[in-house]
Amino acid sequence: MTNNRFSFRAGPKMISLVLVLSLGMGCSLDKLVRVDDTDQLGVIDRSKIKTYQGSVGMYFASIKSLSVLLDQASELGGLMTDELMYFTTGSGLTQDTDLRLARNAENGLINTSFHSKFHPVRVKASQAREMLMIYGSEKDSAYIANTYAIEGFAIVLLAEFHCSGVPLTEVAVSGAVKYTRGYTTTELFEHAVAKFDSALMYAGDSVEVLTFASVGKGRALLATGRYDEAADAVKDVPDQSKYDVAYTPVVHSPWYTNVQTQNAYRILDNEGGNGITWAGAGPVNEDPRVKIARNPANSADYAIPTRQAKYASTGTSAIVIASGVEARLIEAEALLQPASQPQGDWIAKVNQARRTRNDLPDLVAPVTADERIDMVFREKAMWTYLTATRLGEMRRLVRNYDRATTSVFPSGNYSGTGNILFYGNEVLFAVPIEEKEQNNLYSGCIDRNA
Amino acid sequence: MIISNPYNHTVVPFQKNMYRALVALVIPGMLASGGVRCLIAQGVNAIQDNKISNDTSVTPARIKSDVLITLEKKDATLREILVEIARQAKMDLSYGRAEELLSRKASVSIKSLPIREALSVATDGSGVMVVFSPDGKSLIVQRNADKPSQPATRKGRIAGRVIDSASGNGIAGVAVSVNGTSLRTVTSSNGSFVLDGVAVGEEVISFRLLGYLSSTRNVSIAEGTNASLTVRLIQTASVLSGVITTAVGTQRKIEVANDIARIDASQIMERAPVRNLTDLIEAAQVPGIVVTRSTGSPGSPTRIRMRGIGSISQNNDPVVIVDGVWINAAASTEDVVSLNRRNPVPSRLDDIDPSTIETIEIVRGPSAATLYGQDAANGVIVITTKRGKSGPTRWDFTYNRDWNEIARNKPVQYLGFGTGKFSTEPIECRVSDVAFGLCTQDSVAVIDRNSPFVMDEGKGVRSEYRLGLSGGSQQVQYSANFNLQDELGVERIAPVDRVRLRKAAIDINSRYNHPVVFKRTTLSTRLSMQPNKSMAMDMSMRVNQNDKSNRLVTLGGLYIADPRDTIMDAVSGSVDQSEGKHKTTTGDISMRVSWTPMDMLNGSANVGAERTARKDYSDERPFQCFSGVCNPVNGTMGTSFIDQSVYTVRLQMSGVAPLGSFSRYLTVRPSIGGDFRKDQSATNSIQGNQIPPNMNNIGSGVSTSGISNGTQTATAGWYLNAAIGIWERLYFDVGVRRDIGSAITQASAYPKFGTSWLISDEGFFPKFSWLSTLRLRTAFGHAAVQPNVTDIYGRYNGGQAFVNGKIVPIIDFRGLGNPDLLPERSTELEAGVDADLFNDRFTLAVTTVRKQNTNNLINRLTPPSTGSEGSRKENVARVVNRGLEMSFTGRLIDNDNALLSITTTMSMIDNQVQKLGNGVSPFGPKEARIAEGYPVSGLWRLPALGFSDINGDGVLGRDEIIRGDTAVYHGWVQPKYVGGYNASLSLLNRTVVLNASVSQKGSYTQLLSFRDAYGLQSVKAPFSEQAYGIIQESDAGSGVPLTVSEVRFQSASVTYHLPQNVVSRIRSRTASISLQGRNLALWTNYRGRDPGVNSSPASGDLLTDQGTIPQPRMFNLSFNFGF
Repeated sequence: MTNNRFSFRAGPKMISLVLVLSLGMGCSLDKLVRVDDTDQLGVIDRSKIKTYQGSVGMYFASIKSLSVLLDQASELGGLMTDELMYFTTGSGLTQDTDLRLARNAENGLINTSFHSKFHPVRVKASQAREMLMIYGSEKDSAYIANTYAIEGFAIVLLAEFHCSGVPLTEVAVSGAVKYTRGYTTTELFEHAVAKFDSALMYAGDSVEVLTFASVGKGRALLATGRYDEAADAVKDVPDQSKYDVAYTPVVHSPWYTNVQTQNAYRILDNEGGNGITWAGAGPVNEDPRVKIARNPANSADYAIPTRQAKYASTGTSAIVIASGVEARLIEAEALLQPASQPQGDWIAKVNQARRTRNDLPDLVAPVTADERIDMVFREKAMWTYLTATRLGEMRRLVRNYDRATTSVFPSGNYSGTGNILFYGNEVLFAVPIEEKEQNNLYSGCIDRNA
Repeated sequence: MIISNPYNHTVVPFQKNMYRALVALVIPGMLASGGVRCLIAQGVNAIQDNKISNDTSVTPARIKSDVLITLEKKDATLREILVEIARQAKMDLSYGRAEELLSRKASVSIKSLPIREALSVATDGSGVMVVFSPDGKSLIVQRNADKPSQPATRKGRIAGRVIDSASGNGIAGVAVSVNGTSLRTVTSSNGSFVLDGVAVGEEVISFRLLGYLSSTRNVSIAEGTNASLTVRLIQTASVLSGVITTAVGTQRKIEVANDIARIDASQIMERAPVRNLTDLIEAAQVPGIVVTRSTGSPGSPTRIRMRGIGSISQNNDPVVIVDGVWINAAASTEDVVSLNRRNPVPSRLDDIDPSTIETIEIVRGPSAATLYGQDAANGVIVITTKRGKSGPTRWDFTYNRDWNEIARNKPVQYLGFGTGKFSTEPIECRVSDVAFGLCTQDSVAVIDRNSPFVMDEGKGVRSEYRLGLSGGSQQVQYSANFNLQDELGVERIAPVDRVRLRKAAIDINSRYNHPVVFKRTTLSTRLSMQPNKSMAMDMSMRVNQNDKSNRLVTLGGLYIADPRDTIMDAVSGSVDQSEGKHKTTTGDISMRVSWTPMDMLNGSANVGAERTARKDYSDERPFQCFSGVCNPVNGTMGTSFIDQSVYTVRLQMSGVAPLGSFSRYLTVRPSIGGDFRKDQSATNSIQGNQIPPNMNNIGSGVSTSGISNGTQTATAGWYLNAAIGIWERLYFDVGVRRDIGSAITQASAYPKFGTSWLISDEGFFPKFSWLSTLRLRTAFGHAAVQPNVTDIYGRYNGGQAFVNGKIVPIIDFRGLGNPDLLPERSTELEAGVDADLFNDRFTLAVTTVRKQNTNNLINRLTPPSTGSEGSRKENVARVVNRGLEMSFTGRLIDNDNALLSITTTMSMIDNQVQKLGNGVSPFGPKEARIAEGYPVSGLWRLPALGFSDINGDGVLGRDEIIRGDTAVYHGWVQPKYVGGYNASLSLLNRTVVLNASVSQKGSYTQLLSFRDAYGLQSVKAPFSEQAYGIIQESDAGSGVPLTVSEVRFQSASVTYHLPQNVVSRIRSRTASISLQGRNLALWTNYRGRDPGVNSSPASGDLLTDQGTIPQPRMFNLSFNFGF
């Protein structure tokens, strides 16, 4: 009836049309905004993770994180024990650790600089295995075995460095998180043994992985006082066999930088009264397994008698973390049960290890039980200098051999910098308070004794 | 009132009218609630059924209600008269059941009356009335049911027109009422009105419209007669006058329930020294806005917070929209480290040349920002640039010259001296060093750093050239503006350091004579076209380049005179000569097409893109010195490339719902729109380490390291909105938006609702001579911030490792994602009152706000046992900001010779974390805990519970302090009270303008540098202070929290507009000279340098002025010419 094109009918029509079109557009808006390729965000796309190449990439990442852990654990472990001494620089954490005062679980550095390096190793190894189980084949069983061994080794280090009560949260590739309570030190070692057993099951004929898993299992069993089982675990490890990890061929590790180039630490003989005589009177008495050198670059080194640790020549050498030598020493220690009445030729095992080098003369067995134990522990300390082993060994001396903490760890007067004159009482690291943030199953350290 | 409409039964039945109104109201709501498609279909059918039966032969046309009618008829039938009127108006004519009345004869004489009045005269006493069809294109003849055929008795009619006193144009929407009665109407689009049924006798008729002085007329009406009058209204500065730009287009301020501040850029720039957009916003003193500067150094970023801090971990920056498209302004809080060298990146917001801006609208909270989409929860800054003006090309030139100087002396500094355990040299030895056993203190120096010899700050200068042109025809307008700024900062190398460097034989590059240099170049263009009446196009382009150089020489050792009178001017340790460069090139383009196919409907489309290419460069060339002998050692060089872009598409359509005769009382404007926005950035950096002194490229280092990462976010959404007006005094604004984002692809709905009530226009409201207008308003709305894609998926990074003697690629698990994340939702309720007082000479606006952020997206620490790095995003906590905002403006003097106006703004804000979430304990770093009952960005410190000098050596050792394990709250970093006061005086026919502004901030916390605190430096300070210092320095680091207040004489200016005869003589159009000052004085209880700067804008909202340049005092001379 009207010839006005935009009368009552036209306006609503147009609005309705726009509404319908817009709603149609709304249905597919999600395609418009989706970011499918996250590579450009610096994040590997999920589709690339779930492939064989992705599985192997994750496997290598777990090995890398193990080297990072060793780097940190070697440094902090060295400070807590008698291997290193705080010298001129360093954060409050390194000085606290050297003083055996690292008791503050709220100290953020404990987490960011140290503790946070432990769990990624086992989580990455676990996730790599999860993917390898799906996308790998039989030929990858050594990889799978190694992920078990890496995981077990990380748990051993967690137990050796921390108080009793460490959670072992599981994180799947899907992102699913399963928090756990804090496990006691003994439980942790048992977890580790289980992992090493799995590694041995998959290791096939990979001597390296067999060595790693066997020695790791032996180390865990020793810690729980199961000496015979430990010896049995390592009996087939060849003398010359070893498992090592390298940081990187190009960049010096922070550990190396601190120890070698920054003169941050020094090495003392008999630190805190109980420490090993690493260097003796001078270079001629140095043990070839622990290279000691004066540092002519820093005149301050000449002002006070100090020596610099020199573990690796370039800072990029591989660090041995399991070997036939350690296997022999495990066997030796097992034979010393009890040390007063050795069950076999324990000194032969010690010397068998020494003969893997041609510059170490045989040792003669001491007379007393304590001296025998000391000899085995000193030998292991020399062989494993700055490989994150010493702290666990010293705690074991307290725990398994009833030694007093003050007779094992550096104690008494502190000769480092500062006006704090006495060593503290800590023999381990607390689990940082950050663990409580979301893990409601975790309630803190159960026991802070050795 | 609608239901009693008697004129509905013939042409458009009442039920259909009502149904139409309901459709217009209900459709948006239904769409918002989900099942939309079938309802839309029903609505469409219903509207289609509303057909009008017209039988006219008159050719239709567009709106003809403003046509003037001239008619001379004697003894003509009413039909003939009406047909003639319709013919002149070129309108349809349709009849209802009044047809039998049209044969009546009458004589009329009408001369140039608007059609409404003409119809009123023609039908007077006829028993019929003629109304306009809802679309304004038809005349509908109806029987007057109340007065069927009886001539009116004892009643009259008033018809007339209301026009603008200045332009003479008719004014639409003027409320016309008969005082003391309920009779009222509003004027049509041409300003005409008709009031029927007015009682005979003397009546007082009122005319009111926001933005105009109210007017009354005494009218004498004789029985059965018509009165005709024309009323001129005078414009005023009502608080509610004017229009603002909202997400759905332009709306009258009275219709918008939110307090949206509108900044007239030219007005502000005339009275305050404005170097950039942040200055402009700060000078406008908008209540609820807090501007914090990172440093007084040129080109330094700023931070803008609107109505508090709502988000704990996400960006709290407002969204910035320029000419309808988003720009990347998030960098305004960025404290970008150019590799190893701190070099704050200038805010992208400040890249916009303020002289190109027409208006800035500050949309403060989510209740108003709902329709702007995700990330608008922190408010929106809507910038509209200037259009070209029709006419011959106009040139404008401005030259600014600034002189900067540090206004405030440096505070006295304390410095403990002592002897280190392994060194015989005196070294810096403060309380914490003593406690940690690093040294033995023997003295404390009191240092006056204001001596010219040690002062490392001098005078800075800045030049700015602005050149603009504008012109065009009625169809095409153009404008272009060029801006060049060149600034030297106040930083300098202290003379004492120059001496020491000379002694050490270190030849510092001459570039270091001006440590901070900043240049900004901007070219902006805009082209506006209107090819036909229904279409308009705008295209804007902007290119900007920033160059900033930041050079620093840091000398090791001590140079000040210590208490032992030894000038230790030898350089020892390291000398760090470093240079950071920052270059940003930004280009953006935006295009807007608006289409008005008919008067009731208009649509627009905005498309825009902005891209920023940034290059940061650092070069550190240190020296190592022993006993004054220095040798260059290996250094570091690095380069970063950052590429950022934002793409925007916005579509919007709105119209006026056809409501038939209800449209006189009810207006419904539905809108629909959608938008898409994509942000992406990519960063690539490489750093060369251990670069030998004689080498000059990154690759020559012993090693290199690099970073490559990026971000990508996209959001899309659509909205429906309806603005409903009833009787031009009660307005409702209802809308809903649905959004999705790249991180969360499940749509969320965000509703809004607002009410604006001009209560002073209600009949029941008492009249006061001092109160012109009173409006009540309340608004409620939701908005959201979405997480990043990587927050959802978790992080697996690529890289390399050295395994078994080979370099191999790795896929490295780094962080946990959280697939259950929801957008952080911000809900705001604001309520307020606006009043015009004393004939609109004074205006008052008061707003109270409650803004709540729920599902706060926070970076919550992941337990270390997960093996992931740091944190992951979680929806935890509810944060509430409560605020009160007030603005008061007035013209104390207003005559031809002088105008004295004042503006006062005040705001209060209180922030609190109301709830953390079930099972969530207080979290965050010790110095910035997030805890229930306390604000976000509070300052916390570990307390010293006790202390005792156990060993009696007179100093506190670390073991002689009992440290609390739980941090204690000290204060909030945001000012709780902010005030702004401005007075402007125009004299001599407004050729001279004087202006002064004062700002006030109260009750906030700033960190005092540890060197400014005696207790942290001297072992002779009381043990309580020492203990505090030892704990803070060992655990939290930086400084002592102080609660501060400040009053700042922000600016003063005098502007002289040259008289026209002088201007003509120099062949210019306009000319003015301004002398302006900025940051002229500061009164504060803060003992540090400047409580108004924050050196770490990127580290959340924690404040510290340590190591920063305070805001300099600035004097500016400005010359402006227009040709």
